[in-house]
Order: sequence, then structure tokens, then C-alpha cells
Amino acid sequence: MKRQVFVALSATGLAVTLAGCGITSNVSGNAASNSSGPATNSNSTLTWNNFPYTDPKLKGQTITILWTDATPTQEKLTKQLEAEFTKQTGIKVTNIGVDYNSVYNKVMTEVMSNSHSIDLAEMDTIWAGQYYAGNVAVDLTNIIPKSVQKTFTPSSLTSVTYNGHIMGVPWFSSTKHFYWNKKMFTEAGLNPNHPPATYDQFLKDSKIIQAKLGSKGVYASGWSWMQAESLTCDYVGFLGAYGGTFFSPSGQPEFNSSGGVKALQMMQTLYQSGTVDPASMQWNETQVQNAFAAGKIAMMSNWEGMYPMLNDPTQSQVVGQTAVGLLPGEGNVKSSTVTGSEGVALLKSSQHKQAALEFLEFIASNGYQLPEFQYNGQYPTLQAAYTNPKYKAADTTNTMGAIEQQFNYAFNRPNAPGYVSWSDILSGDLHKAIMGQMTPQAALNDANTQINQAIKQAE
Amino acid sequence: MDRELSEGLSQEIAFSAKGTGLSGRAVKHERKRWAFAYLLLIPTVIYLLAIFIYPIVQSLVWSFMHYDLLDGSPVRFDGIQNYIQILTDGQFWYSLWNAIWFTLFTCTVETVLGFFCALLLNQTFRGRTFFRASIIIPWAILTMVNGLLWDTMLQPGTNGGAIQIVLHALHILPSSSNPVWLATVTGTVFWAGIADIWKMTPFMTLLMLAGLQSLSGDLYEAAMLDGAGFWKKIWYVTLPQLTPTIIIAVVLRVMGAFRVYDILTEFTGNDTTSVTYLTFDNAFRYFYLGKASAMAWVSTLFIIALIVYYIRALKRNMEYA
Amino acid sequence: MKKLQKTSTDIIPTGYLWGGLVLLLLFSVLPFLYLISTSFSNQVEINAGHLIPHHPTLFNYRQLFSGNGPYVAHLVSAMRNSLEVSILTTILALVFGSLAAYAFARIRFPFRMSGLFAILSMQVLPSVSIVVPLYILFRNGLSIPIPFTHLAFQLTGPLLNTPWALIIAYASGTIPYVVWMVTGYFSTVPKELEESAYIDGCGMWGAMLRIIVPLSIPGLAATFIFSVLNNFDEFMFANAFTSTYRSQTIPIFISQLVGKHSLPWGLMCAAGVVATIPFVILSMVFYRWIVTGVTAGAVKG
Repeated sequence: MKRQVFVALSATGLAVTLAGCGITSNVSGNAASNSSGPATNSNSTLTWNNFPYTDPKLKGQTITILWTDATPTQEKLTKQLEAEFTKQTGIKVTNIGVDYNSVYNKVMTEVMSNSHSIDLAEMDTIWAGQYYAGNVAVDLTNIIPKSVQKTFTPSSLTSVTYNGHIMGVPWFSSTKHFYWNKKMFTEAGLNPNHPPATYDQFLKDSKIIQAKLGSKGVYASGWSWMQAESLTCDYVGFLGAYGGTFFSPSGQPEFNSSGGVKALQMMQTLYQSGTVDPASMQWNETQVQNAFAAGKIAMMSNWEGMYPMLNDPTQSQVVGQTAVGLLPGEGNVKSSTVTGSEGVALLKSSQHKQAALEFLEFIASNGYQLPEFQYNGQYPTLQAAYTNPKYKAADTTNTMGAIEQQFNYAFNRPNAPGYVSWSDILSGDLHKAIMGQMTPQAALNDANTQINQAIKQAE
Repeated sequence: MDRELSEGLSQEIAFSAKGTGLSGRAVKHERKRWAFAYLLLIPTVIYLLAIFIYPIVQSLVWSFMHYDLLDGSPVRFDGIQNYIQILTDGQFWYSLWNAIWFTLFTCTVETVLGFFCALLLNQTFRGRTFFRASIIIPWAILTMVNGLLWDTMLQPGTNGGAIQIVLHALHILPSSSNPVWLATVTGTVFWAGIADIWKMTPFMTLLMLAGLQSLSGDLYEAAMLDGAGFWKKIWYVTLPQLTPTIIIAVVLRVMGAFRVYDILTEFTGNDTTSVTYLTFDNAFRYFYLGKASAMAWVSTLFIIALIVYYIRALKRNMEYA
Repeated sequence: MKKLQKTSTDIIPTGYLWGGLVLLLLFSVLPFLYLISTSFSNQVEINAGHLIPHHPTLFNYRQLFSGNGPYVAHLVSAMRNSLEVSILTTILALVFGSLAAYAFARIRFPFRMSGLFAILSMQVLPSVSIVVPLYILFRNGLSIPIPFTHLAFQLTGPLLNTPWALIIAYASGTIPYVVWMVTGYFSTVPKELEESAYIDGCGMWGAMLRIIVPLSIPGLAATFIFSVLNNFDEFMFANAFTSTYRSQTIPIFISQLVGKHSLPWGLMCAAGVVATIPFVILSMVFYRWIVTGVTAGAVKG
């Protein structure tokens, strides 16, 4: 046996060496020809027609969309809206719904793959730079007419813009918000109408709730602190509250300054106080939502779209017990949150660009935005929607005012190319610090060094 | 396989020795058979050259290049930059260490467990076929479903995780304690190891069972006459005879365990949990193809070295014994 | 009833034997039973910590299979892709590999042993070492370069997101396995049978197809089943080479359900049961062949 394996290994070695001689130059030649990236198609023929006008020639084409599809409710609504679009335009839609943390990978493998099978893809605000620099998406700056651009809220348009290039159509407006369970506040002896305004207060209230309700298996709060983008999001919110910034104006990471360390220190303190559901360390936002809806946590930070779900008796055990308001601040900062607005991008590799553009027009219309708001609680990107009586009527939980107010205290994450790898680094270190495996200062210094290194390598 | 190959080897030597004595017609006949053999080999050889050897060489070449697909920068020769980068990068060593730890942990436990399971199933008892068939259930479950199953069971008790609920009920874990086992890298690798042990122990058992079945009873009888007990029989009779089987089984498992990837993607987004995971993310999340190729090469060389070392060490041990 | 004959290889005392067997059975079966039981539980019962549902429900299965739901179409197409890919891969590998195996097993030719070892040793290399080059290969489509020029003869279009990418990639790992296994089976056929075929006037093809292959059918079948199971389970290549629903396989389908982390555990377990039950049953039915498949290559002799 022993000798035979040696023979085997050396035989492969020989084969590899032999094969290596003849083809090397050919390989590099081949590789070089691939480096140009996806073919750059001219966009000059694309025209933005306001929905529902559609060029009849597009009838019968099929477009494919790749985006997040987290819950069964969401999946159902997406299907209905796509059916509506097909009815009006004759363009068929195939939907690929994956979890948020897979979207970016899937878009990138798709774009690199030469296979042209996806036309439209979700673009989180942080991917705009990558979509531009990596030749992923069509630059829509000159395709969306100026008059149409003005119909979007300024923040939602900023979210899809990198360096002046509009890389997608604003899909929804979003920040994180503070949700609390009023009934639990009352049971714990807290004023249900006075949610904590600072994180210090949040910690105090948490301890009170934990002491009173902990025996029932309730935790004061739950967070989406799995090692992923959702953790970076929460950190950016805390960072704002403690007056820190992610990047210096010259583009150097500086979250390891005093504000950043205090922010992470607070997250660690919260976790170690025993008031945070420990499962938070492997939760994403939807799992936090489920725990909140099951009455297992009293407070959470989460995106819009919790209503109408939280008040749907078939999915929620806290119907009518919850409220939404401003996330805490600290010191001079009244409140602080992170922007999570997203867009939908038209991929350069698409072979049905005009038909796909029609769908983007649909997204930018009330026909899409209103039902998404009504059934999914997804906030509109259209400026006029916020004064439109139809939207007011659809706001059955009367939370639009509270949600809109939070939009004024939002901080953006960077959206330069390379952000994804930086955030991967940062979320790993944040996770370790919260779990107590590193001090906040050491964790942030480490992330800072690694991100600087990554920036250098990319140059 | 083992014996058959060595037989083949000796036949081949004998064959070439007498080759000179063949008559002209026999030589012609032999040539025809050789030609036939090469003809039969052509499809396999071409296929493996094109889809295995060529890509491997290609990735060796790319490992010396700056080859980033996403930023569209030109592909250029970069010397050993990629290797310097990954070898000075704590992440790579950490993920390599995790893969080694995972391999050692799973292979050791699987070998020991598999050995004793095989001993059990090698006895004569009623219902043996039933037991033998039922132990392959874990092995028949798809790896991803296995991951899903353990992910469910490993949730904190407050979220309905079965293992903690059982531990609470048995008072092994205080009911106030609901740890999040999959929140740390160490925990994830350990529990992925447990899931792997559950799934792959049957494989080990089957291999060793086949080995045990080919052992003759004579030596046990002799050992019994010498008054040897259970452990003595195992140590002096079973293990020495089973060693060739164990070597092959362990080599097979080491190869499989070292490339662990799929189950980890279900447990965590942290790609430093295994070197394959890290390589895959570098290739298909960041599209640093040059760097990923270098990583693949380092870990490939490592696994080959590991297996060669293992077999040499065993060989040395057996020579002393 | 036939009395069981104790033999000298029975070295474990009876008490320990049954204790061990019970533990072994619990170890193998309990987690699997829990998978099934969870698939009949709703989320409320799982949260309440009921390991066995007090009110078993088909709700998860109904949701999984509901005609206008989001899962059934994906599940069906994933199942079809998985079967197609694993079966076609195996057929391709069996044809190529058996031809080579015949040469290795029945003909003595120069470099025979080195050739066999070279092919076997390919199994040592982890698949991650070829995933990047294969990705680029499939992205551009297969082509044959024309020597001394930069031209190439294009054989196919881009293959990513098609079953062919997976079939071609999987076969590169399956062929060495098949060669290994089938060489073993072919060499067990007695030489006299083959010689009598020559005397009957068969050529070399005839001897192979009429004598060697038919006599090795059980071995070929074991190889077939084992290879189908293996390829059905593959995840890494599938994750790299497919991104559309139409091309995804079962492991990817499961991974995406789990990735969402927000679906009820019961629903995911139901999907797991559906994906896995056919194999558990197949493995029990073909137990003997599976055992041969596992062991023949590794511990013959």
C-alpha cells in the first residue's frame, strides 16, 4: 500500500509537470482576454417610457429578476405584482428569490458568468460603487429623465447613486427603527409611551424588564447580530449615536476613534448584561422580527415592514401591543440610525434591457409602490407618496409619521467598491468583541488595519 | 484492491522479463493488444487531461498572477505576491488551522466509533441485518439536509433547540442556560464536526466491517487458549490484522474531511471556519482569482503532505512493531 | 427456528453487545426521527420546546407543495436537475471509465501500473483546486485551441447555469472513481472464460462486451448507485456554477431555504424530508450493493 501511494503521487506530479510545459503561454493569453469583464453594450437605445406605456414589440419577452425574498408573505406579494406587470405589458417575469446574504454573491457570479440569464438585480445602497466600478449594471443617469429623477425622495436617490452615477431605480426607502412592546413595558412598571431616548436609558430599562419578565422566558431586547451585514448596520447606527464616523473625509477608516469604541463598548455591555437574547448572535433581521412577534423580546431595532405583519393575528402574538418610534441617541445626538434604502439595477449582461427597463418604470410607479407599502410595509421612494391620501389610507397602523421622522436621523454606510470585503472584515471583529473574545478597542483596531490593507491591495 | 494491484505489479515485471523470448507472431499479437488498450484509454485520458490536469496547471499559473475579475484590472504576472499575501495573512492560517482541527477531530472520533460499531455488528446475533441496514440512515441523508437538521437541533433551548431541551430535561445543563453554540468559530467548527461524525461514522463502520469479515477466527481461538481477554484480543489480534483497512479508511476520510465546506455554509457566514470556505469566498465573493488559486494550491500541497506523512509514519511504526 | 451458531470471532460479551447495539441504534436513528417529527410541527410547538408535536400537522407539507406557493416549482425543477445531472454524469463516467478499466484489468501493456496510479491519485486532490479554472472554462464555453495560433475551435457556448457544467465537472471526479472500482470487478472474471470467447471467434470487443461486462453487472450496478448518490450530494461546484432556479440542484435548494433563516423550521425540515427520504429508502433496499460500493474499492483482499 505505502509504496503504491508514493508511486501514485509521483506519477501525478510527473503528469502535471509534463502538461505544464506546453500550454503555459496559452493560458496567460486566454486569461488576459477574459479580463475585459462583461461586454459593454451601448445604452443609447434605451428609453424610459412612463409605466404603463410599453412598446408592443416587447410583448412575449421574459425577464428574470434576482432579489431578496425572505418571508412567505413577501414571496406571495412579489408574485402577484409580477403577474400584474405581465397583464399590463405582456412581458413575462421570472423571479429568483434568495436570502439577502446570498444576493451579492449570486449577482456577482451571474455577472461574471457570461450566461445572460438575469436581467434585473437588487442593489443595496452599499453595492452601488461595486456595480459601477465592476461594470455590473447599466448607468441610468442619462436614461432616467431628469423630470422623473425629481419624483424620488432625495435620500432614496442618493442611496442608488455612486459618484454622481445613478446605478439603479430606487426600490424602497428604509432605515432601522425602534420597536417596543407596550404591554411588556407596562408589566415591567415602565411608562409604555416613553421608550428610552438614550442608550444608557435603554440599558437601565432593559435591566428592569429583564428582572420583571425574565422568568417568563422574555428577553428585554433582541438584535440581528449574526456575523453579516446586519451587524455592520446596527454598528453604524450606534456609531452615529456616539458621534463616530466610519470613514474620514479622505477615505480612511476611522471607526476605531473614541466614538466608535464607545459605540461598540455599549453593544458589548448590552450583550453581557444578560438582557439581550443570546440567540441575537446568530439572528438576522427576520429572526428578530419573529421573536418580537412571538412575544419573546420586548424591544428591537428593525427595518420598516414590521407592520402589518405584527398586527396580523395569524402570524403574530403581539397584535395591538407594539409601537414604533425613534431609536435612542446619546448626548447631543437625538437619535441615530442606519440607512438601508435599496434600488434595483439593470445588469449590463442583460439581453432584454428595454423590457427590463419597463419593469423598473413599474417599480417607480404607484402601481408597484402602493401595494408594497400596503401589504409589506415597504416605504415608498416617491416623494408624492408621503402626502398621497391613498398611502395615508393604506397606513392602517398609523405609523407613517413615526417612520418618516426617523428618516431625518439616518447615517449612510460607505458605498465605494470594495465595501463588501470591508464589511465582512468589520462584522467579524464586531462579532468577536460583542461575544467578549476581544476588547472593543482591539477589535476595531484590527478591523481598521485589515481594511486599510484591503484598500491598499485593491489599488 | 491492494493485493490485486501488487499482483499486477509482479505480473508486469514477469511479463517484461520474458518479453524477449516471444516469437514474431506473438509479439505482433501483443502489439495489437497494446494498441487496443491505448484505444480504450483514449477517452479517459483526454477527458482527465482537459477537465482535470489542464485546469490544475492553469490554476498554478494563475496563482502567480494578479487576476481580479471584479475591478477589471489587467491580468499581470505578479511573482509570488499572492503567496506572500496569504501566508502573511492571519485569516488564511486561522482557516487552515480550523480545517486541520476539524479533520483531526472527526477522523479520530469516526475511526474509534466506527471500529467499535463494526465489532458490534460483526457478532452473530438475531436481527443483525436490521441493525446493519439501519445504521446507514445517517450516511444516506444528504449533506445539506444533515446540516439543516443539526442547525435546527443546535438552536438555543429558548428557540426550541432539541439538544438543549434534552440536556435541560436531563439536568445536565441548567434550564437558565441557553448558550448559542453556533455563534463562535470554535463552536461552529466543533458542531459541524459532530454533524459530520454522525453522518460519516456509518461509512467507517461499513469499511471496517468488511475488513473484519475477512479475518479468520483461528487467531481468536489461539488467543482464547492463551487466556486473552477482550482488550487483549483487540490489541493483539484484531488491530494488527485490520491495520491495512484502517489506513485506507482514514486516508479516505482525511481527504473528505479536509475539504469541508458545504455544511459550514449553513451554520455560519464566517469563511475562516475552513480553508475551502475561505478559498471559495475569495474566488466567488471577491473574485480574487489569483489569490484564490494560490490558496487552493497551498491547501492542496498541504493535504498531500499530510497523507504522505501519515502513511510514512505508519510504515515506520509497523517496521518497529 | 434456526439456532444461531456462536463463532470465535464473537468477542464481545452478550450484555455489552446489546447495550452497544441499542446505543448505536439510538445514535443513528434519533436525529433522523427528529427531522421527521419536526416536519409535522408548527412553529408554536417548536418554540414551546415540544420535541414531538402534540398536534401533528400537514401544514408544512401543504405549504411546500401548494400549487401557487413559491417552493413547489423550484423543488420540482431542482429534483429534476439533480437526477439529470447525477445520472448523466454516472453514465458518462461509466462508459469512459469501464473502457479504461478493461484495459487496466485485462491487458498488460507498458506503463499500465503508472497509468492506473496516476488516475487513482487524482482522487486525492480536493475539488476546490479546480473550481476556479473550471468556472472560467464554462464561462467561455469549451473550445479546442489550435496550436501555434491564438485561435480556438469553439465547441459549445457558455455552459454556466446549464446542467452540462455540472455534468462535466462531476465526471472529472467520478471517472477516476469508476476506473478504480471497475478495474477491480473486471479482474475478478476468470481468464478461462475470456479465452473460451476468443476460441469461439470473438474479437477483443466481443470478449469485452459479451463476457467481461455481463459478468460484472452487479459490480457495475453498485458503482452506478454509489456514484449517483455521491453526485446528488455535491454542493461546491453547484454553488459556483449555477445561479438560476432553472439550473439549481437539490443541495442548493436546501441551502437557500436554510439561508433565509426566517422560514419556519418545520417547513425546512419538510423540504429536507422530501429531499432525503428517497435516498434513505434506496439505501435500505440496495443495502448490499451500497456496501459493495463503499467497500470494494477500499478493502478488497
